[in-house]
Amino acid sequence: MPGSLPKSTLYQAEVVVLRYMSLGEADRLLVLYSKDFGKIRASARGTRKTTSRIAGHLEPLTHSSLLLARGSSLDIVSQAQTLKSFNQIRDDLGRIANGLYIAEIVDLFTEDEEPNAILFQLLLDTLDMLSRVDVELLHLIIHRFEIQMLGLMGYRPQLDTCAVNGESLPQNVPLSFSVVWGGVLCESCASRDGTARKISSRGVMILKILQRGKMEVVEEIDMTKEARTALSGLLRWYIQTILEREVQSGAFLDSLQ
Amino acid sequence: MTSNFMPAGGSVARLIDAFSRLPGIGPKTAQRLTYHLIRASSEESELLAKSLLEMRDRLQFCSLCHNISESTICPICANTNRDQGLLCVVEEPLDLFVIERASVYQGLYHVLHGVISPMNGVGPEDLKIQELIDRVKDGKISEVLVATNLSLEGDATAMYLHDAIDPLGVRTTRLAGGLPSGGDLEYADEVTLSRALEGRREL
Repeated sequence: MPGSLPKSTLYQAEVVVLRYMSLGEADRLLVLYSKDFGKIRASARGTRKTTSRIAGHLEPLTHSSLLLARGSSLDIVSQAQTLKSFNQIRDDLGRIANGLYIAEIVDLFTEDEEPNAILFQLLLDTLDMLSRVDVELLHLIIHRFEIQMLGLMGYRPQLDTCAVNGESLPQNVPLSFSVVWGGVLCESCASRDGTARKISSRGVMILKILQRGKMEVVEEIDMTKEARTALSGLLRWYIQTILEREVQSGAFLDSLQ
Repeated sequence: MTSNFMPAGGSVARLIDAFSRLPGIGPKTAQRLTYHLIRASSEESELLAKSLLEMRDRLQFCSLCHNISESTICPICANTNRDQGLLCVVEEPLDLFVIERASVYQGLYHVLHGVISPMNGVGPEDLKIQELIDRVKDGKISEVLVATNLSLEGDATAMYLHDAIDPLGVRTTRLAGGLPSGGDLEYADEVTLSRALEGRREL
């Protein structure tokens, strides 16, 4: 049953491995995002040993099917089988950095054991795209993920009309983006939030395309380097303001741009 | 934490507390170690205490490879019989000890003191990477063997090093990935298996 974890001693879970930390002598503590149970933490015994039979199936960004055993404090991974390893992500530094970035924001935005099958599918689809799209498109895949995930978490920014007065947004005038109001503000409402950031109407249009998420349209987006940096900065700022903390892997991702 | 259960006295409780701060040692093990020392001869305690203080006093890092050393240049870097053109990059001093113990490698080392770990906020600038690049620029090195762990972060670090060292015209190689000796083919994952296939060799 989705939702609460099953009471039985052994249960199956389809997961994406988000991250792990070393635990004890040779174990790892895994943070997993599962389809049916949301985020779960589990210990994987002996996975730091070279002879571990499950370690290779439990690397970050791997889609795996697991058999877990209920433990008193932490559940324990008993068996693991890779469903998709997203091999091509691991062969490219930029793809790894992007992959770890989305894994971190999933970890930061979700609470333990709160399932969201749509988010799980979005995560899988995004990893799949990260593993095969052209390097030039990686940033769009990430921004698409960011804005879609924000929507699923209840932070869908309002982009069609002014978030304060509800009036339609004029073209070719400077607009603002406000975290407090959760969307775009027209010129006359911009003063309502002193922390709001400037955004061009073209920037708003790009956000809308990413929010709708149709890949054939997303792929067509053409941006200058400056526009890329502005968009990436805006979304990062929006996410970090909501989370009230820094997304750690963002710095490394930016350093590769 | 443990001091609540220890009416026996401040010093004993403090020792238990100190032991339980060590990795892999829980309160029970800490108590057992402490009672062992209480029963053992005073020389044993003195030796332990002296070793600890001596370690802290003498501990420094080799100015070349950044391994733990008791001198400015460690014995490995000072050994001119070793291959001066081959440099093995490892994450931690412990990794270096493991390779040395196997006595199959005759080149020099460079210890990064970590691995690029974006989610933990560890970037290239937090590691001994610039020092490595400076060392390679010095010109004696002809090959850099990256022996970081075969994990996602280890791979990312290896790729980062390749991108930084390749323009200097120095060959970068990576530790082979594949099946471990004693490993069972049945349990191999896709990534390991594909690396094992790529790295196959003539019999």
